[in-house]
Amino acid sequence: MTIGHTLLGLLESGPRHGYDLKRAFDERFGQDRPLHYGQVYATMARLLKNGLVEVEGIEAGEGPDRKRYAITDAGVTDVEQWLAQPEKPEPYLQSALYTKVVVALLTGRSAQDILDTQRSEHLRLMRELTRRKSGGDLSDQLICDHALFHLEADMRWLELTAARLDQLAEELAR
Amino acid sequence: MTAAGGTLDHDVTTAPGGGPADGVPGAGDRLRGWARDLALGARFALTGREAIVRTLLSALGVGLGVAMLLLGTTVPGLVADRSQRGAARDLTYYGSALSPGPDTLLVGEGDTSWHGEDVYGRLLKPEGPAVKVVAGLTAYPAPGTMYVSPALQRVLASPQGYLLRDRLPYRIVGTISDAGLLGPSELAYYAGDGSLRLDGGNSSGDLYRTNSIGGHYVDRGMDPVLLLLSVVAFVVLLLPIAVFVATAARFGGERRDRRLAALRLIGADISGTHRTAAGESLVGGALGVLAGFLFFQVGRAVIGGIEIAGLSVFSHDVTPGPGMAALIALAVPVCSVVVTAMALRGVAIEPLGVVRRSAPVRRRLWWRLVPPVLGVVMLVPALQGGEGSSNSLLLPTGMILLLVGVSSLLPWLIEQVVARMGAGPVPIQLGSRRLQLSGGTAARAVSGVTVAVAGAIAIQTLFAGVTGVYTKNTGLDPQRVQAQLAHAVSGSGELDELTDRLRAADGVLGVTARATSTAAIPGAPGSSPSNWNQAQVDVGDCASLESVARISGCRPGSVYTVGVRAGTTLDLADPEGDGPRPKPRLWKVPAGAGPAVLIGNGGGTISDDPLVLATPQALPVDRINQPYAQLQLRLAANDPDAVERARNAAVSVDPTMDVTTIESSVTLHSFDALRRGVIVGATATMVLIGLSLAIGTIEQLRERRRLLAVLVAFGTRRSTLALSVLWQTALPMLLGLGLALGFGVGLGAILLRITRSPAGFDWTSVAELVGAGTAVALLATLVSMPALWRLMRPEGLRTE
Amino acid sequence: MTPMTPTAHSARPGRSEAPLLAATGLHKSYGATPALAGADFQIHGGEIVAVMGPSGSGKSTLLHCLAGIVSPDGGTVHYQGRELSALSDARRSALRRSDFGFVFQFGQLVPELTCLENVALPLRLAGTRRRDAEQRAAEWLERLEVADVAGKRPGEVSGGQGQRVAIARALAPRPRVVFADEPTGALDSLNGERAMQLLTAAARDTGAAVVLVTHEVRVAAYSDREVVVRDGRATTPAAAL
Repeated sequence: MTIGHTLLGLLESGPRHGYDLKRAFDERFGQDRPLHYGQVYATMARLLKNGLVEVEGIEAGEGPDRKRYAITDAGVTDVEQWLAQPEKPEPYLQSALYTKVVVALLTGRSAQDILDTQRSEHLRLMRELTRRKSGGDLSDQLICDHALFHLEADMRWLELTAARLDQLAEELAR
Repeated sequence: MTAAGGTLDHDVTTAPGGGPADGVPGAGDRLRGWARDLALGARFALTGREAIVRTLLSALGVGLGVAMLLLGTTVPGLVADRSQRGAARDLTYYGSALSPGPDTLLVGEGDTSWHGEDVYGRLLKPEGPAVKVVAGLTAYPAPGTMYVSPALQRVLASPQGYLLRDRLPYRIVGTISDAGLLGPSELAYYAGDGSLRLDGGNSSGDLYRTNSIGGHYVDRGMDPVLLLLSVVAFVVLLLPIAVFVATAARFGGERRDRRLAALRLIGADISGTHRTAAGESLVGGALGVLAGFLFFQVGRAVIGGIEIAGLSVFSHDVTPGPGMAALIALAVPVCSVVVTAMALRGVAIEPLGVVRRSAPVRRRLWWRLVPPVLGVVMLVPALQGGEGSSNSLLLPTGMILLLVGVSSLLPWLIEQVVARMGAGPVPIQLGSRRLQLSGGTAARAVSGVTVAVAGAIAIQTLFAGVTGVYTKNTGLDPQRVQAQLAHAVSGSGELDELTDRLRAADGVLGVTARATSTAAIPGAPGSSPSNWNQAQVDVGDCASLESVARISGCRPGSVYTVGVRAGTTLDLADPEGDGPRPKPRLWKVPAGAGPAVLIGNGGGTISDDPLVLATPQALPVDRINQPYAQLQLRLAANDPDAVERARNAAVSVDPTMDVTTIESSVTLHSFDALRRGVIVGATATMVLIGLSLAIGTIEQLRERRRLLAVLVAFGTRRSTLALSVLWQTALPMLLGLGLALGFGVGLGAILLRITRSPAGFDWTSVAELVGAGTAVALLATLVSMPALWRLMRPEGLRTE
Repeated sequence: MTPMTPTAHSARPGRSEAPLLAATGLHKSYGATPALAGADFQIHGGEIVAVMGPSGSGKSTLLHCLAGIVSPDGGTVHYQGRELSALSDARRSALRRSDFGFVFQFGQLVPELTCLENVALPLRLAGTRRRDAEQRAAEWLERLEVADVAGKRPGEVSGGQGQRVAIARALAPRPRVVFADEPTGALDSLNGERAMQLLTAAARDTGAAVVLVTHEVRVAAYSDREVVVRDGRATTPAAAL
């Protein structure tokens, strides 16, 4: 999961101060690991350097806190590409996927597409594993099966999430 | 582990299973437990759409059976009521000669026929004011008027009835009430006839004097052979019904077994599930009894309007005895429970499902042979004792056992045959394999039909054999004459008038007429006249004489004899009865009388006595004593009204005269009624069984809905499945009919031996019965076809 | 886990040759309930396509329409260029006998026939002589590793064995398309895996296309591609492109 893309996604709904960004992030995704201020400024600095955000205005006062960031067109494209790119299927994937789904919902994009894309990617890998399993010896089969079962669990999560997208959108809107 | 399992079984007998597990269950507890199990079963029978449908089907089956049984129990009452009414209108007088008095009635027998149907008719003339009114009338008809039965009134009112209106030229003043009729469709009339006159004696021909109005019915008892026939008929009709009731109680057995398995899972013990099943079938049985009484009421109302082969029955005569009705009401539900218990015997209901003995115990032949063998053994005394011993219980019991043998041998036979099948085209393979697994069910379904057919074949065989004994050969040849009239005439005047009128009738092609009488051949002088030989004297023209005997050179004045020498003197004043000998009227057979050889089949009664055939020129009709006219009529072949016009012509001479059509044989009436009863009953039973067969097939198809859909999916033709269903029904049916044929013919042969009747089989009837059985099987298959078509839709794949 | 490159098996729907079986705009309702609402589907010869989707989404109805068991209310199904709904019921039945094979979740074997006879049944329905049909059936039972149950009836064999018999039955007539509706639905994972391996291997050997309706991803993983049915519409997820 990339904090940069997430913060970009949050900015899409409107310019914000760094402090607000941190709060919004923590509220949605930071249950286990809240962001440090330092992380936010470092990330924003990188995004600024890459031209994905711009500083819309600096209010009078002291400290970095006074900068208001806004997303650039390049930033929007970057978010778009990030969302469209399926995650590499691997264990403990859901936090990244979850972030993407939420960002998609927040920015008015199709979360369903994200899930479908991810599904296909998962299935593609599962096909490969299945094929490898069919041609391999027992140890290959056991190893492949381990991966398959994990991927299957992800798929179940994808299906379940897909079925609850409407509910999730409602909660986010509140 | 096994021990643990065993104790577990006992421990689990708590919930709906039966008595409490701890300690010895008290009688009250046990009773309550039983009631609970039964009630649970009853609730199963009435909960859910499918269960209700199944219960109703079962009730319908049982109900039809009960209705048949009830109908059966009404027969004795029916016969009694019928004969009681017959007695109530009986006018016959048996005593010594009556003289006219205030309570005497002159009766002329005005019976006639109308297109093959008998018309009961009496011409009445009360001779005084104190004559009791005959049953069915409110008063005696005045001369020239008549009371008619409703059925006769309808005939007279119909456009085709004009010929009968001409014959009965009386004004209708009222209808005969039911109390005076044998059945609702009986044709009957009572006419007042002032011209009736009886001079001396108590009767003359069809005219007699009586003071006995009703009540002279004499129970002659039943002929042993007829009794045997009745017993056979009852058994033959009842057994298939019993089989039917047995199968009706088993509708939906497989589904029920699965439900019981679910009960076992929640802790019911085996006997508890059996009680629950009993409760379930008890509901069907009880509803069936209710339905049966309902059907019976409906059938009773309907039966009043139906006339089967000349027999009609009043609805109010169709009344079962209260004792029998109560017995049926109790026995049928009990039977359904017993049948359920038997059905559950071969099934082990385990908590996780029903274990039908998948490889069923090989059916053993020996015990299946016990009932028929025992049956034959029980028939042996009757075989040796002849028909007289047929009253004992042994005979019907033996017959029942023999017929039950058909249904006990059938499953074995089907198994034997089917085990060798399975090859052949796909439909046959599917059908045969299904029979291999569940041949018992198939056998049960058709055993009703086979028992009915076997019984009916036996009784038809018996009929055929007994017909030889019970059918009087009339000695008449319907090729030469088609109708005859035999009646006393007053003399040549009446005879000639009768002959002329008949000849004049439209459609009558020719008439030969003879006047017959008896004469004595006087013995040696001084010998007692009662020892004198008798001779029959027939007077008629040459054509008439030639119609009964081969004679040569007949002209007016010729005389021919058989067994009487020419020149013999006859006393034409032959005495009648015990009265004093009248004055002799001697007549000498002319010397030139030629020989005659009788043609046996010409027509009319020819006695074995010596015979004199004379032309009226040689012996005038008026000289012979009490001339009895014997007329033979040739009728236009394709004019059904010809005989009716001849009747009208005869009645115009004397209303008590009747023209009868000639058949080559005449079957006794009571015998015929029984035969009709059996045919009607056997047909009704087979239709009933066909219905249950169809229901069973449909139910079986429904349970295989998914499989059928799968078969359709991979491209099975409907015809393939239809043929397999047909084969599955037809094979047991064919085997059953084969068995039925063997047993029926065998039993028929035994019954023929018992009645000492000549062996002979009515193969046409046998073929008809076998055909009827086959038709029932085909029809049952046909009826189930729409269901098959419906179930072969792919929607069956969706049920999951 | 190293990323894998698509192998040659991964069939691409966009390839040039005409599809073996194609459906466009299928509509089908049962009573008031719509089961299909404009579903499209294509499968090429030798391709294995998984049809996935939640329960009640119309997967089975799609399969029934594709196989000509059910006539759609709207839309067309073309098999080898012929439109199925234009054929008579008898012709469609004949087509199913000759060109299609079926595997269902349960209740598909005739309980009275032995396993061998069950496998021989579609062959015999198509007109093969009994002896030849049973010989071929025996070969297929062997191939699916259930030769030992040939003489037993379906009620006497395990679920996994029964399903393999069903697969043998579906493949024995050498169909061009095998329709499998939740073929492993009643099996445990080991038996299900084995059944799928045998089914797909046999299908690839004989060049049969497989329409595989399933809700299990691990079963779907035996396919070349997947189609998701949702609310009566079939979609091919974009990332498979």
